[in-house]
Amino acid sequence: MFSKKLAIILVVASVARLWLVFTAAGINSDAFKYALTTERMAEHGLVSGMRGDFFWPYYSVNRRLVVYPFLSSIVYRITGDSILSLRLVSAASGVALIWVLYAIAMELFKQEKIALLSAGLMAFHYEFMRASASVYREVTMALLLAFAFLTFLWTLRAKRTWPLLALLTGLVLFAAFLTRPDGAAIAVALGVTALCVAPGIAWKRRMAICLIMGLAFLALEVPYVLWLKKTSGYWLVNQWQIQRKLTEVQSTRRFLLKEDPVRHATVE
Amino acid sequence: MQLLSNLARQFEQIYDTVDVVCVAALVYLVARGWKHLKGHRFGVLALALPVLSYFLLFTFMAGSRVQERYYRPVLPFFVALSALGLHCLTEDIKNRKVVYGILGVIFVGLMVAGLREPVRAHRRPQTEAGLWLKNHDPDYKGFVLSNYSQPVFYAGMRHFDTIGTEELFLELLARGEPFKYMILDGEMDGKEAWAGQYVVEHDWPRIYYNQERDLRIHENPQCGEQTGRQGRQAPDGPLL
Repeated sequence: MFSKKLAIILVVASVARLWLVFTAAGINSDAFKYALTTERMAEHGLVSGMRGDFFWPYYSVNRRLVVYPFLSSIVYRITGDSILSLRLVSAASGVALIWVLYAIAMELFKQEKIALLSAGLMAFHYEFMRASASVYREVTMALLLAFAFLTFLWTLRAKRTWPLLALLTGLVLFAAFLTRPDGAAIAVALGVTALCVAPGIAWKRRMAICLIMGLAFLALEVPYVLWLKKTSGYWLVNQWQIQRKLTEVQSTRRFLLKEDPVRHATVE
Repeated sequence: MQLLSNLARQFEQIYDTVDVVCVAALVYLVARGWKHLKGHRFGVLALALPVLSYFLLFTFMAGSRVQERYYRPVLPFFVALSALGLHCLTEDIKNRKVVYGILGVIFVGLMVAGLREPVRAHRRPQTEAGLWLKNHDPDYKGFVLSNYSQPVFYAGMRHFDTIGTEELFLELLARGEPFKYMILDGEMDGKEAWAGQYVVEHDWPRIYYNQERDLRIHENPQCGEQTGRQGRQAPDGPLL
């Protein structure tokens, strides 16, 4: 699934994104939290970065979801600059997404013209190009969702390896869920596609695909939920939910003044 | 009524995410897809379902709080559908030169729009203010009260938000927590208005000013007296 024309698109898209990365003038409001998380993960390990007691508002677990800063922490070991690392992860995700979309279009329509048009529009979509040079997890999220979708399409087509591919889809969906919580919506869309839309597949296999994807997701989600309970004291489906249990002021009081957050429930 | 308002908000955000070129291509897909995409019903449906799932999720769960970037994760699906619209357009136009001309204008136009200015150019003053503060006081790593986190991050200090934190700030100050600087960016109103009033009432001198964003850095006079830094001339404006 590659062509010379796609290679040209990828090269131009990479150059444009790198230019934007190295000329970027500022960051958005949440970026510093991802930057500090990246540095923490690089210096003290993944789990240390998942705890939330090292920057405002000192939630007991880090409200920033894991995947994006973790990928950046790998790049940080080379660059030594957390913001640059986050931008590079976004840029790499943005470029990888072009190939993934090309592969999706080839898989669905079997026409290179449609695949190249998809890749070209993705490569030069101006807002997405700019987002690919910014500290935004949405670009990495888009890559994970598109990749989950691609592996799902392979699952529908494969004759022997479909259980493995369904497993892979479930794992990628979990990674997406740990990038943005709304990734769960795509799991529903894929389930509906498998059960109701996909043509020429036996019912048993449709059910098995959904089951394997769900079990693969749960195999990682269950230990994660138990870790969240142990660390924060709350039942949460992911770290992002901690903000629904405590306000920023309550969590800051808990950390800096060592107070019981329940007693200060009316602070805000 | 609320649902209608939510729906309008979703369409507004989707339009901002997808951009005018893709929206036009999607309209063309709806108009001409039936003719050029026979036999591709599964492909079109499979691409539309993730978009639909996001649309329903945000309409019923996020409502008016949804932002344009929330739809970016499903942008690839929008783009693939838009590419189908462009495909239909190229099938309808028989002259290849006209087709290549249209595609060239679209792609070059998108590229120019994407590279028009540096990313987050409007935040440059915050980056500069943070770097100035770091240079001004490289040893301080403690709290800075600020309504934006960016300058504090670039200063290498610890951010403390201004929104609704007056009581907590005063309590921590009374317990001896050193808040050496306060950075105020733009108009302070609502839950953060207290910070602007506090620096005036307690005579925190302004040591840095940026006119473009009305960004001010104030220094705690007690800390300033200790370090002897109070009174240093700001590079971009007068001292108060």
